[in-house]
Amino acid sequence: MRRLRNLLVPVGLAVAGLAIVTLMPATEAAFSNTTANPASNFAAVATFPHALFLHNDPSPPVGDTTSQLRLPLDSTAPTGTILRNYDSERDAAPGLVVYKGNDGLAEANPTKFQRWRHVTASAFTIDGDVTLHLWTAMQDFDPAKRGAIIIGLLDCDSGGASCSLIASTTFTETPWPSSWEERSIDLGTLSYVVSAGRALVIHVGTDSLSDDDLWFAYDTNSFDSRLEFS
Amino acid sequence: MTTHYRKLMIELTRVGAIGVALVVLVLLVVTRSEAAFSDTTASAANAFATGTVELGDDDAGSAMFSASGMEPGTPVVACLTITYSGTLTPAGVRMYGSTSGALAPYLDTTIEIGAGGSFGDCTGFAPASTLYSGTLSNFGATHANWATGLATFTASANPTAHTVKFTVDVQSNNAAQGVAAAATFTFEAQS
Repeated sequence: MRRLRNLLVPVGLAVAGLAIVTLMPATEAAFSNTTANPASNFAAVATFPHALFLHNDPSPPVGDTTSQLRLPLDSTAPTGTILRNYDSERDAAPGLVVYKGNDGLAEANPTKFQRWRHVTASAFTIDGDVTLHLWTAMQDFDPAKRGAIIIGLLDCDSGGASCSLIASTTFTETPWPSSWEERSIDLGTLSYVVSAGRALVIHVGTDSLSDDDLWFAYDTNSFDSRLEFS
Repeated sequence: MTTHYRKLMIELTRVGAIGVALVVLVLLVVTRSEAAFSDTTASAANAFATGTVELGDDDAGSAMFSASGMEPGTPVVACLTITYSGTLTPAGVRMYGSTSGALAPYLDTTIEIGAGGSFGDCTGFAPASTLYSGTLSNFGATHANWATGLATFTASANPTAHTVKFTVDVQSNNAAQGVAAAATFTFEAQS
């Protein structure tokens, strides 16, 4: 009996091995060939297009407010639906009036310019085109008047002081819109990094070339004035 | 002494008889296993030739993508025509690749197969089906060789050509800013 077992075991193993060797080639391809496209490369821009929206405080606006020297600028799109009066001590009209100034970016009279400030939690890289999209109208929707604004993009401390100018431009149009209209003002192609903890500030002033004071609208979903980076 | 001698003689006689018997047996076997007569017949010279599995593309050695300055919402697109020209059919064609780089997980990739268009120009491409939709890094991770390759088409005739269209867009994720990726796409046919 033991002799029979000793004989059958090796014979069984041999038969199994032969079967594996015989069947394996059937599961393999007989021939193959490849073609490959050389390595493709992809690289993203340093900064994706995005926008910082001009807000009132509080935002979204829930009622009229008096004017404020510095307002928030952040990436949250406006959700308000009603344009409130943002300077109830100056007039009763919705939006903000900025009186005609004389000193450009050095203007010290807070009724003649408005600043929005974005304090950066981490370094804020600007690498590309910067455009201010601004909803504006001539005061009292007056037609046939020339309007002019001066725009400055600044790197300031978190309190809005000790500023360095990043870019600036003057924008003039005759006639200035006599109803709310959006204007896109090009600040150029920039490469700049605002350090963490500092503030990116947009300054909007009514220039001395303007025939009259100007109105500005922001912080509603219809009047989504914003600083756009692309 | 006499007894011992007799035993020895008997033993030698027995061994001698066995030896003679073996010699006779061998002679019988050898002579019996030889044919008395023989003849041959031969088939004329047989010829053997292998079939071929041939796969090619129309990229002329150029990469499909060299995309810089990618930003969300602006996808890059490329087409590549794959042609099977082997004699062995049917042959299955699969696609696989390798990817690398920090941008790869943020590249949304769609791969379609169809007809029309060619390398460098997808004009006229008509998709028949979508082979893959996901990130570029996932493509490389899940389709790295023939065994895990995407089935693209089966060539049942010679030649058989199909165009593959690649659409790659970067996700709107700040982590994808300023980084890069690379990818190689390989097609393999097996009979």
